[in-house]
Amino acid sequence: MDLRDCYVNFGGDYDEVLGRLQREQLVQKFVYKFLDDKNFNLLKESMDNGNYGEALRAVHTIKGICQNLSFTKLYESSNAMTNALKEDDYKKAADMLPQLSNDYHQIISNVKEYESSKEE
Amino acid sequence: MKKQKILIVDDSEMNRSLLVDILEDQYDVVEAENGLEAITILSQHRADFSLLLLDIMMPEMDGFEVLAYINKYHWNDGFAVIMISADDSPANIKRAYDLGAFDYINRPFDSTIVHRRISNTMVLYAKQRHLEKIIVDQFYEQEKNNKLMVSVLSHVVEFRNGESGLHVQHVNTITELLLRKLIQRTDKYPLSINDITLISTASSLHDIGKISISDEILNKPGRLTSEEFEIMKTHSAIGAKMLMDLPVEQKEMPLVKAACEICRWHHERYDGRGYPDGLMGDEIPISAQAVALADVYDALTSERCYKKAFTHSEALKMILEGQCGKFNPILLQCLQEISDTLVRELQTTSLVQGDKNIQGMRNKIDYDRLFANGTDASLSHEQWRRQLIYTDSLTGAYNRRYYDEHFQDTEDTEAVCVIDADNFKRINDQYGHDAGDIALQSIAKTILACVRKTDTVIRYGGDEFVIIFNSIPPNIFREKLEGIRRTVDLLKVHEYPKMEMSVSIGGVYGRGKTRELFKVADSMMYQSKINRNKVTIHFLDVETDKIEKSEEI
Repeated sequence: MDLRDCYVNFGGDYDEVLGRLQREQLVQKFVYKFLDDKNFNLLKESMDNGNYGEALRAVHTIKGICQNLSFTKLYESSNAMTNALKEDDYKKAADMLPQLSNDYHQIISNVKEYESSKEE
Repeated sequence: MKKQKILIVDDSEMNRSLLVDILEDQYDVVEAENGLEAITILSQHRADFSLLLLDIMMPEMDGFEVLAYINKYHWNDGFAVIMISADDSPANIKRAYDLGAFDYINRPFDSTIVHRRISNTMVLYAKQRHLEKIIVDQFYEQEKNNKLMVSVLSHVVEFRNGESGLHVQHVNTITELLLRKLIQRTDKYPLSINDITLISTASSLHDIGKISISDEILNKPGRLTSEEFEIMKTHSAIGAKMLMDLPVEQKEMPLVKAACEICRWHHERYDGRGYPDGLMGDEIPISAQAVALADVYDALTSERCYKKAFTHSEALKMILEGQCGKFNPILLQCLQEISDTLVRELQTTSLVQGDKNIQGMRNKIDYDRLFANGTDASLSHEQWRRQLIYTDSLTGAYNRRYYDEHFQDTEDTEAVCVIDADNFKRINDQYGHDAGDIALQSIAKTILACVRKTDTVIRYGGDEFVIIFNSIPPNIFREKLEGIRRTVDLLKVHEYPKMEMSVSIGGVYGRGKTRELFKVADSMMYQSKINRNKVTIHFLDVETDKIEKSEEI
């Protein structure tokens, strides 16, 4: 499995990100970095505690990261949720969380699989 | 070469390190994870940075707050701010620009584009600062040479005259003090600070005609016979003629024009009993009136080959009693009022000799003429910096920022007017934008010349000006506005003789919040706009604070 396959599997645009960042190593570095990013957990916690201001900041940050790494699918769900929170529509935002969560875990599992395939 | 330093402010560690990866080869990159941290770094080390990359949505202090803070303390004079938020809604981008952001980089980051945007911005900023420095240096150099030439020329005259060499300097100082006091006392004489600087510089040449008077008469120790005195008297007309004989393009220079008036008429007296033309009252230009008084005062208080020096109070008494001829009563009042300063200043000019004085000139660079504005001629660095920030570079009036920061929320304004140039778009379309600029400049100049030193003229937007008046009687307010309208209507621009200009003016009179007065004045202006070239004023009723009546002039 190479990085391109990984991107295809979780719904990202590999050509686009490589075009911008220009080096595969750089893309790989940030994709790995994404595994450690705390914003998804922060988002979930904040939604559970009803801390919507914090939730907005977290999902907004996720959206920004997705833009930079061309995580197309997760970008779409995080963008939709950002807008819902901006409009203070907390119910709509909460309804969107499962989809976002799904898109997020797709990336995480694929990147982990890619990482282990590289190590072998 | 040392790497330029960039500060990245973003709460997302991933975004920061992505930018670091893109930029670190070429730049020295520092990171801050929220607005507060950025401000802390900048408050100590802002001079090190050439650029700030700023996210908007952050904990502690968001990007807008950071921008507002930077703007408030004018830190962005030294570095540019580029916004990097993922939120690219037009409202946010616009707000960032309004708060002083220089540019906006969209996500996702493309390394080539990020590089280009950043290097272009830094080159532009560096160029601008470099150019500013060149202009200031050149201006200083030119100013120094001008003063040097004038001073050499006047010393030639004095050398022949056997005088101390201080007379010219004294007349210069006294003239400036007199005129500055004069415009505080009355607005009868429409002099700007620039005019006063020009007149006092020109005053150095008041006696150049003496070059044609023979030594025997010029330096005769005793009293002159009446024939000798008649010859002596010719020096004023001769001085003026020497200047009038200059080639036409030099003769038209403001300095030469002022010097010419001063040469010819600095021996005229207010009652018409002076020479050479026997002009009376304000037939004598105010420049020559002031120099005449300064000349007499300094002659009395200095030792000459034919007399001893009088003290300040003796000299003042003699002048007030009319022993040296009649002077403009307002100027005489000014002379009395500047007594203390006069004694102090003249003592210092006597102590400070020649070359020391030229060194001292650096502190006296007349930034007013560089960044034409009517406040104070000798500016400290801080004042000068304030002037750059608050002055509209095209017209020399205050800018919108000055209004927003100083007047928006004040409550003790007495009267406000809004002035809008008529058919300004047509001027631009018909004659081009250069002509439009010249038109705006002439209109601004007219407005500045028509108002008092205490009134504030602001270029509010494109072709719109605002004047804030402090304590002004209603009839004077009306006269001023009408005066501005009339003067602009008669304005002619040398380069575009066919160009016609006029303004529509709306005024409001009565105490209140500036913000509210402005609204009323603005709607009055629109009323004037219906027929153009018109003044409309609302007088607020003091009791009910409501608009009682409006009148059209």
